[in-house]
Amino acid sequence: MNTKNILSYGVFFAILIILPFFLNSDWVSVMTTFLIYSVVSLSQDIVLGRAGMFDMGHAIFFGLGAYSTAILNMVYGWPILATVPIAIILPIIASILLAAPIIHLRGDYLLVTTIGFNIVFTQALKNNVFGITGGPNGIFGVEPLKILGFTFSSQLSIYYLAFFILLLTLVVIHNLETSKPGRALHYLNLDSLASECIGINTRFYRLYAFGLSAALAGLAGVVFTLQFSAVSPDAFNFIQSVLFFTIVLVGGPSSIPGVLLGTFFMFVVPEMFRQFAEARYLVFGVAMILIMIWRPKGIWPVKFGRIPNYLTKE
Amino acid sequence: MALLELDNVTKIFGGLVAVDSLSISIEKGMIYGIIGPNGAGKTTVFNCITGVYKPEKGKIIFKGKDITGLSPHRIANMGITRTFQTIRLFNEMSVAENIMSGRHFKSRQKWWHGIMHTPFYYKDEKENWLKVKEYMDLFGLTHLAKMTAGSQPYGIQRKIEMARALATEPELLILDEPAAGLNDKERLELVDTIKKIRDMGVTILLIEHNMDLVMNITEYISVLNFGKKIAEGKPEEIQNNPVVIEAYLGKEEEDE
Repeated sequence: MNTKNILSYGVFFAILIILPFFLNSDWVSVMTTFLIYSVVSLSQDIVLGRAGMFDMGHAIFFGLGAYSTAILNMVYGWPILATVPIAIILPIIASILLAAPIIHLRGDYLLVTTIGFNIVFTQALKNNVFGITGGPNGIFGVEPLKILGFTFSSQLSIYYLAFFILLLTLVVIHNLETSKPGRALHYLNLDSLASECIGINTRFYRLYAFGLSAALAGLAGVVFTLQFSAVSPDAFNFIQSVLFFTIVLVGGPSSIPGVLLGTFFMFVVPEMFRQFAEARYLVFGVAMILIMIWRPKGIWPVKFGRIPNYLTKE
Repeated sequence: MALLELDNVTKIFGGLVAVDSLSISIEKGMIYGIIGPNGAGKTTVFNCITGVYKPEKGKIIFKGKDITGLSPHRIANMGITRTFQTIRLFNEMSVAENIMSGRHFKSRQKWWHGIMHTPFYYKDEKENWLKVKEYMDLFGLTHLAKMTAGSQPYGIQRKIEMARALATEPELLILDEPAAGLNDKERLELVDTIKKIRDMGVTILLIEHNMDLVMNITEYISVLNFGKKIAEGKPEEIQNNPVVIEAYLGKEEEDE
């Protein structure tokens, strides 16, 4: 990371830290959801942008995390903190079980299969499987998170919790993209056969991408449950998956600033124009089309060439 | 014992026998050539050796181990890497990142280093980037390290692909028409490069259409036609073999 990058991330974080003091509580709530959706979109980007797999069922892993926390807390009485490991591990297991049989499928087939999984997932939640998901209305009244006697009950505290999770996600993704596994994802995405022939186990790294992205989405799900003290099936349906998918493509696949901008554009901007009701979506749809025509690689396209400086110096 | 041995390898596509009971044996340290007219099944042989295709019959033995039907990445990790007839680089990525992909197996980073960086990660990362620099220096690519691989001229792309294959530190390097699309000057450089690689102790197996290059560089040649081996021997023997001239060289002379 060069000085310019460090500086721009510094400014970005500083803005996020002081932002709540200039906003009313409604907007702090919108921005909290923005932070959560950023984490989900960044995790979607691992599978879609980096590994290049068309996963349109990412809301499943987000939802599994959210529901794990809600169910363990409300049905089994676990404290929220204790539910966090489960809300991460369960989506990982689910993602690997779902992806393993279909991972060899080409883009379009994988896309349709993951949509199918997402529909099955929402239907299961709506039909109150095992009598624990609360049916179409979901689960209400989830307790707030308590850590060392501090209760995350105010909107402001949840905002900073979401901010912390975003920071954590950014660290993980930075580590990913500067490591052997992260590069392997790009290689297998750009040319799967060439990757295999220089010794990359493409199947393993495809599953790796699914597992890691499901873990982050599950963690985001926990914060989502805390934000609304509730979960419902419609927050994790196929349309939500489409949103995360679109955010990555509009923002810029494999590009961290791109995905953050994409989330802002696709989620916060529509909130700003709430007074125009449904009409805003018309402008919004047209804007999406224009971005894809003019900037097919996203608003902020990825830049490769992340190599250490000592390589170019004599 | 031969480094690589093909024993009656047969590959069939539908009703077409692309490779017909082919047996060849490649000794360590040699430059081995496979030639033959278009559609003779040369690239199919390469695809069978590297695990891209699974042969219907026969065995492929590498360093005494049966590697028939193993997946390409396992074969690559055992020490066989290749280049492609149509160059296959990671076009959007930089030259250095392309060559770094060859270090994938040698790098000892584990899956968790993609999430958390430990002191070992920094050591391993530096080691492998320095190796990349060595290969860039060897091929004269250092000044292009940050440039996008896909935007480089053809001759450079061939070099990047060879550097990438070599970065895996293979024992057997398979080159699929390395001179295709190169001009005379680039072809001469290629001859030097191939000899340099051989001197590093890497055995080389190549397919090539350019007769001058094949006759100049290889130590042993097999000639394929319609999937069958019709002749084998030293370059000078092949040049004078009437069967070969009829199947291959003769045709080319008629064209000109």
